[in-house]
Amino acid sequence: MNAALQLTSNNLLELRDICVGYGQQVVINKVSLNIEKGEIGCLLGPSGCGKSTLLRAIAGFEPVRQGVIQLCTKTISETHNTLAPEHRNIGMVFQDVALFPHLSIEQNVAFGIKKLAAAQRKERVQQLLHLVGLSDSAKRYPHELSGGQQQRIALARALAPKPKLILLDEPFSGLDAKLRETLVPQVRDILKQEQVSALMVSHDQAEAFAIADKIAVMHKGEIHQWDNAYNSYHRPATKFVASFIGKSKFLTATTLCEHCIETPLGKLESKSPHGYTAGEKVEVLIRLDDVEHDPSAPHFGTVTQKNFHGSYFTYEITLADGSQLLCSTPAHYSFKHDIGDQFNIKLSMEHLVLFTR
Amino acid sequence: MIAKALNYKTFNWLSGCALLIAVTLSLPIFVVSSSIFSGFGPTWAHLADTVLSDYVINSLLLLLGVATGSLLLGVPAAWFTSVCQFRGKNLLTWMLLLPLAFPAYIVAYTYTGLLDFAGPVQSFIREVSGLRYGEYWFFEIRSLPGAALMLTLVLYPYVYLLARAAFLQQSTNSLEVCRTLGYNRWQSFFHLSLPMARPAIIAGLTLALMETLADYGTVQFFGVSTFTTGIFRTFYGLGDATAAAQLASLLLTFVAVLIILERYSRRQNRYHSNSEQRAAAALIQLSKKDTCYVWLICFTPILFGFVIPAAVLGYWSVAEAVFEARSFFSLAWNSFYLAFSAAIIAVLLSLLLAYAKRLKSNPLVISAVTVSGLGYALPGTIIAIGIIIPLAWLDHRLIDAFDWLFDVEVGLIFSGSLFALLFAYTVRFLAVSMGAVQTGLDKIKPNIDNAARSLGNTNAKVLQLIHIPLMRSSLLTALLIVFVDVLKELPATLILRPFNFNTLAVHAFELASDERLIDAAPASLMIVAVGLLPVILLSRSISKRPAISSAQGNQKQ
Repeated sequence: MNAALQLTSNNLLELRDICVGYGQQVVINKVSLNIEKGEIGCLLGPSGCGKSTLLRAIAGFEPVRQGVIQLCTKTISETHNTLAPEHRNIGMVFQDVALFPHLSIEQNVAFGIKKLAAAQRKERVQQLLHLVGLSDSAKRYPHELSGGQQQRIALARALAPKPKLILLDEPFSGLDAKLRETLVPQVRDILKQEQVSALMVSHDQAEAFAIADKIAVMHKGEIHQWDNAYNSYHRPATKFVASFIGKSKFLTATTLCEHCIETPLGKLESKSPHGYTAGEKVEVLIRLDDVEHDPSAPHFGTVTQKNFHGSYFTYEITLADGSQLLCSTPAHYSFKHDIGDQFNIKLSMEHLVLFTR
Repeated sequence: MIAKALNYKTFNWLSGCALLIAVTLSLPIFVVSSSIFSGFGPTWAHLADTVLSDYVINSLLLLLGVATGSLLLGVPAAWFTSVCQFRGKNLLTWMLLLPLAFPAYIVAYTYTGLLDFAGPVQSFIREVSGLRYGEYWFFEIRSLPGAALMLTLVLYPYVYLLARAAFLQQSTNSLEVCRTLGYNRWQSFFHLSLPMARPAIIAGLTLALMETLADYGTVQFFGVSTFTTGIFRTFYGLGDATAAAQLASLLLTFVAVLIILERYSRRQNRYHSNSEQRAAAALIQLSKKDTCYVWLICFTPILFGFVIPAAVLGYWSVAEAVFEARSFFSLAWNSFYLAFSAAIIAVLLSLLLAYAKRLKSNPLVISAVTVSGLGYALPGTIIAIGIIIPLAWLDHRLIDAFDWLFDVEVGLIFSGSLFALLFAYTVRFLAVSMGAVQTGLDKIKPNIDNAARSLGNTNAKVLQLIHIPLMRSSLLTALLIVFVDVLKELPATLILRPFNFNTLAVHAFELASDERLIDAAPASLMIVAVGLLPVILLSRSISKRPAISSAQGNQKQ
């Protein structure tokens, strides 16, 4: 009882078995999720997986068909009952920034705090502009700012009314890669300084890893895993998570004992038990970085694709049985291979990630 | 830029043509504005002492009335049909444009016939109540408020159209941000949607106000003294062309202010429109009760601006009007060939200008194109005065010359023939056809030309195989719009038509001036029926837009 109470009071946002749909189509199917105070979460998934819809349901723009959404233990969405977005105290930042073009930067940031006294309002605006590093631009207009600056102002505007939660809908995908690299950590710092919880939507794994404390990997309206970045990568809960995060391939295998399996590339052993009984037919996840080039290794495949990435090469290697693996080598590596060449490999893995075939 | 992409060095004659067109078409504006330097005669002093202040005040009041009215009718209708979802929304969306088919003067004739002392409404009131003339109050339609009302009824669609486009363009994300910042739907309309749409609304409003300033038929019929009636009176009544031109130049400054206002708001609009992707538009689903209210609000302007006048005109034409088929068809033929010739001339000149701009794009050509389009902002009266003065001068010199050289008597070759009329129509409506032709041509990207050339076609072949097929529909649109505009045009036709030459519009005007309102109905109905064609085109193009945006929404989904 006590533990349960503890849990709910820590949870800022709690989604329980919610379903969302348009017409006949079910977009979100029985999703549960919770975000703690000050935590930054990320909904990660391919386009069309329903992550934006889930965000809009939390913001109050889409009603839920089933389930409950609670913010600070107060129910804000349930079947046939949706609290209007303006009463939720949830801030939102969009991909297209959606700054109000007819208002100056100052006025944009002040838009949500009109109820404050003028002096307080001014102070809060200045504080936020300072926080996002754009104090000089107060009097300027949105079209005079660069994409990254606009996105920071959009964040400041959403933060102004001190919302309990900030929702960010693909906030970085309109920006070029270089800018994204600098802006993502900035945004994380700003959110942490304001001590606000946030939930971001992204289809970009690097972005999610850089900003989020916890990542929800979504596919076809369902959350496959809600965990931190390290676990999502190293202990994927489903085959979809394993294939969506990181570059990897699967090999067919058969379990031999609690620790070891037999693969086309020989016997593999993991330090911890892999959780399958002996003799089961499984697939084993082989990450790009699990495969090493070793000229003396007994196993080999044929190079079927080769990509140059500047500091390293990636090779796609097809084995004799038709299964494929990925491998990378440094660009200044003394061994160079072309398509059709023989490529000797060995696998070096600490633990095994297996899925039932 | 395009010219550079196409790398054409020839066609120098094109820019020459463009300059010539610009100079010729700006003649009226030049004549009118230079009249202020020709000294102020006794007529002007007389005008200034007596009626000039009336002209200014009445024109301003009329502008104020039309502005208020079109905002009240246009903006709510635009908002409801762009952000709400309710039964019959699509129907309302295009029906709101129907009043555009009516020239203001025809609506004025219809309502006068309905509402004046002898009309059916007042007769009915007297019959039912037993009161006699003077014993009851009734709205006097022939007044300044009446004129403002009539003009509002047919001009609000300008505001509606531009405001609606602006509301549709607004990113739903902006509105959703507004909601998350604690504003409800109504508050976000007033705090966000309306301010963001303001430049577009002002642009629509200035268009409506330019038409108001240009109106002659309505104010003349209602006996409201404004600039346009003043110009007519000075020109015909006092016979003073210079004073008329001076009045016209004063009117011109009013127009200039409106143009500057419009340009300014358009410039701002660049920043105000969100060209970013629109999320799936979350339309407000209206309840049955709200749907009734919205229908009431949106259907009122349609009812009074189209349904009632059209029904009344139809009834009069069929049941009551004295209809002389022969004279009617000769009028219709006059109108037709005049409008058709003007449309052909306008489209040909537009093509010349559009190609000049495409192939020889330099500042001189670009400004020539801009100048050629200025006439659309000018009231027909100004153009007519600006044309008749130089043409009459030229004609008299010609008469003298022929008399002296060949001893022959020639009539008024230019000012007394259809030439003057066609000239005026070209000045006034070239911008309309330019718009349509230019959009058609802009769709043909320079690389299409380059691709065709690289496949071994000459310039002439490219024109024949690529441009003409691609531009056919734009050219037809341009023809149609100019045709209809000429058909509806009244003041310039009144001033410049050759002796004893009548068109449908002039005929309707003359019958109405003789208080034969019912007999004017067939001609009016004909004008409105033809006027419906471009409205149908327009409504088809605006009802396509939501379909596209919802498709985008689905994709994003």
